[in-house]
Amino acid sequence: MTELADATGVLLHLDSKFYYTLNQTGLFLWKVVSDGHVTTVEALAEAVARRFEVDDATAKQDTEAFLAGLRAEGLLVSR
Amino acid sequence: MARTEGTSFHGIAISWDGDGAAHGALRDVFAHFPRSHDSELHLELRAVERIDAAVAPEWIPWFFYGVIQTYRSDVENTTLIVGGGIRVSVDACHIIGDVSGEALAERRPLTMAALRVALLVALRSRSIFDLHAGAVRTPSGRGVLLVGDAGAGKTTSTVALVLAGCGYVADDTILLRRERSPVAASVVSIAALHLPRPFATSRTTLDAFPELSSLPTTRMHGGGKWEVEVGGVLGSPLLTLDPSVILLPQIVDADRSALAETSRADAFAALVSSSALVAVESMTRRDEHLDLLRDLANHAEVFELALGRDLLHAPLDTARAILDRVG
Repeated sequence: MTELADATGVLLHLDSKFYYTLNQTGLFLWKVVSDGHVTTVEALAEAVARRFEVDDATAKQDTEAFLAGLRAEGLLVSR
Repeated sequence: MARTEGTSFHGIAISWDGDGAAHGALRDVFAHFPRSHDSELHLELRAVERIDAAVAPEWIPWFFYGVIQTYRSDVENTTLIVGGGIRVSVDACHIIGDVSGEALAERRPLTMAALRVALLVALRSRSIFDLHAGAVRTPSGRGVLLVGDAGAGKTTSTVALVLAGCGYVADDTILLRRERSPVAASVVSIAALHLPRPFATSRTTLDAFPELSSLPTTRMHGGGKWEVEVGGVLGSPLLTLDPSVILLPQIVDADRSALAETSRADAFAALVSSSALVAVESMTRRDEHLDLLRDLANHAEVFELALGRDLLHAPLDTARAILDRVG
């Protein structure tokens, strides 16, 4: 993952060589997920709500959509 | 009879030998660069009637660039390039081999492309990296890169901007290199450097510009593009540029073109996908190349450039509107 100066980022899938751009929320979520300390959707959504000052429902919806997107592209696997 | 000449190619002393058609082709390639009497990279081409296409098993397939095949040898740290009328070996200090005299005499696009691949491979060991992009300098002095896939509108935009008063570096491929300030060594910038090659454009673009439509063209291999020498119309290229704006052009179904700020992630992704050699496994200085692209994305202002029909109907007005925005 490459982080850019405006807090956006780019993910490289090492197998497919595809690149994925991350907006500020996506980059924040990727870093929290990668850190490994926060492991539930609810806790991730809470972190998003705090960081970006959005309501809980929006944060949960965006978090679930982001994680689903990562799984669909093979960038996140469940343990 | 070959004779050695020397060129300072962006500060790199290249000595070159070529007999017959090879000499004329190399002279054209280096026409815009000053002479040099030193040599840190030697380029030697022998014009032959037939190229030996056989490749010994010790050569490992590395990357293919259309029909141009590239192999490497770990033992010799050497690259072998075969195809497009060329068979050359490349290491950090030498580009040596055979080329089709007939293909070179005609400046066939594929042959010249194979020669550029050889040069690009040799330049990587000097931290000079290729980028598929157009590049112009605005009348106010800003360096603008146009980064996008084939057919995104790079050449059309570049020609429109040049006819609207910009200086041009390239329409399709540039070189990137970090430059240290002569005053303060800690100050590093990124320079976009001219790579000699003809404009590569579609018939639609040629028809949109009366200035270009009458110039001689050469059809490129395997596509709907033509090469055109624009020097007589656009003048000599600028050899170097300090890029501070990145435009990401894309053809859209709209009457008017539009410019909108976008993220640095979009810029970095476009820069990476426009840097063919950075995707090749075991490529020389790959991490350094990626770092340079990241710093370029962080350094420049970035805009999406949605190109509407006005680019073809009123290219100068469209270019002026772009310049009003980017400065």
